[in-house]
Amino acid sequence: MMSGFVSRYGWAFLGLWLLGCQAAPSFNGQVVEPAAAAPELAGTNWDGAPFKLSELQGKVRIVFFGYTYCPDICPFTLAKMKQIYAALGDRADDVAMVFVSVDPHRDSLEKLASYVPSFDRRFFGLRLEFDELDQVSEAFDLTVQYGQPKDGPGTDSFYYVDHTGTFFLIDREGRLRVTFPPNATAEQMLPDIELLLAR
Amino acid sequence: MSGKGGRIVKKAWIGGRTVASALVATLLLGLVAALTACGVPPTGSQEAAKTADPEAASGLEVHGAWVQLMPGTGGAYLTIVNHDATAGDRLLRVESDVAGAVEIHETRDDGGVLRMIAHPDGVEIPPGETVELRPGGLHLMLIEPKPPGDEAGAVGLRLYFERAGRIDIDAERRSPGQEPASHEHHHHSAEEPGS
Repeated sequence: MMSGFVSRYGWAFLGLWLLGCQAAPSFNGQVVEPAAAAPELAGTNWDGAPFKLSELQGKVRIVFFGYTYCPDICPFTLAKMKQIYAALGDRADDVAMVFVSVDPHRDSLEKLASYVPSFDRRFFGLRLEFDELDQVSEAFDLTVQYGQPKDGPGTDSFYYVDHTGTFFLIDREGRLRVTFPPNATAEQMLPDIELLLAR
Repeated sequence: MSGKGGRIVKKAWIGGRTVASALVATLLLGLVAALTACGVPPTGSQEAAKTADPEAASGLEVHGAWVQLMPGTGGAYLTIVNHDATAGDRLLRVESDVAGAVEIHETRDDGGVLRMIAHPDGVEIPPGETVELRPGGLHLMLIEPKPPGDEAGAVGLRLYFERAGRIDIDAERRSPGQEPASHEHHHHSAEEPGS
């Protein structure tokens, strides 16, 4: 009977239809749900200017963490941001790249200034004091772990800093919307940035 | 095996002639000497270091070396191929004139947390295998390299292997972040968004 058909399959169709509605827009990255205001991020930029993430209202913001003594991953991360800027062309004006140092001990403003702008002078490279960094780590749910100096504790020798390498994408209204893993490529992130720019 | 005692060489004392037995003895001695000299592969790392082409002697081939130098740190990458299918080797340590120290490290992505693992005992190069030191994985870390602006041209690296001994290579100098990380399997250009 007709009514039997509808009652048996109607719910299935309804469910599928609702699922379909949830799908737009489709991001490549990990969608943050619900989209809430991004944590405040305040520090000093490499050029000495005070920085506050919330003051970049109206711009899409890409926040990521690292340190200048990192020999392997961080240069490639900054190079990816460079690729994104190149692909965006003029629209790069509406996207802020924010590199945050997790190594306040070694990453002075001078050190940051010798490193970050060499990729692009428009990039932000922030130094936070340790207590500010603690707060940000908690707010962004980061892992930041300092290794032992290689010549022994208390020596002024190299130490590495294990850190969350996630990319945090924040929309023009300041909401954290999407994240990407450390190995995401510029090509993978670009469509999501464009989606956020469009809103 | 028969229970007979060791009568290996037939008596050649036929009519007082000893020449044949002497010849046989000489041949046998010569054969033993030859086997002794040729049968043992060179084990001394000093031997390999002194040869004109330590790579060929060891079965190891090193190629594709390049470095990126930043203020205070640097990374170097290369590929090591062990053409010897029976004997493994180990990269023990590395030196460079451009840095105070060079260490072997490895980046690991631990669920989104980037960690650095030190390899103070070096890296194994198994028989017949290729070991790649590349961005996002195994790499050489140059500690306190000379400021990048000081020099141009290739950077010399001295690789010390357990069996092969010392192999000197020239690493191409590239600007930081120039080469894509290991996870990316495609070539890309900045002018092709979404490709």
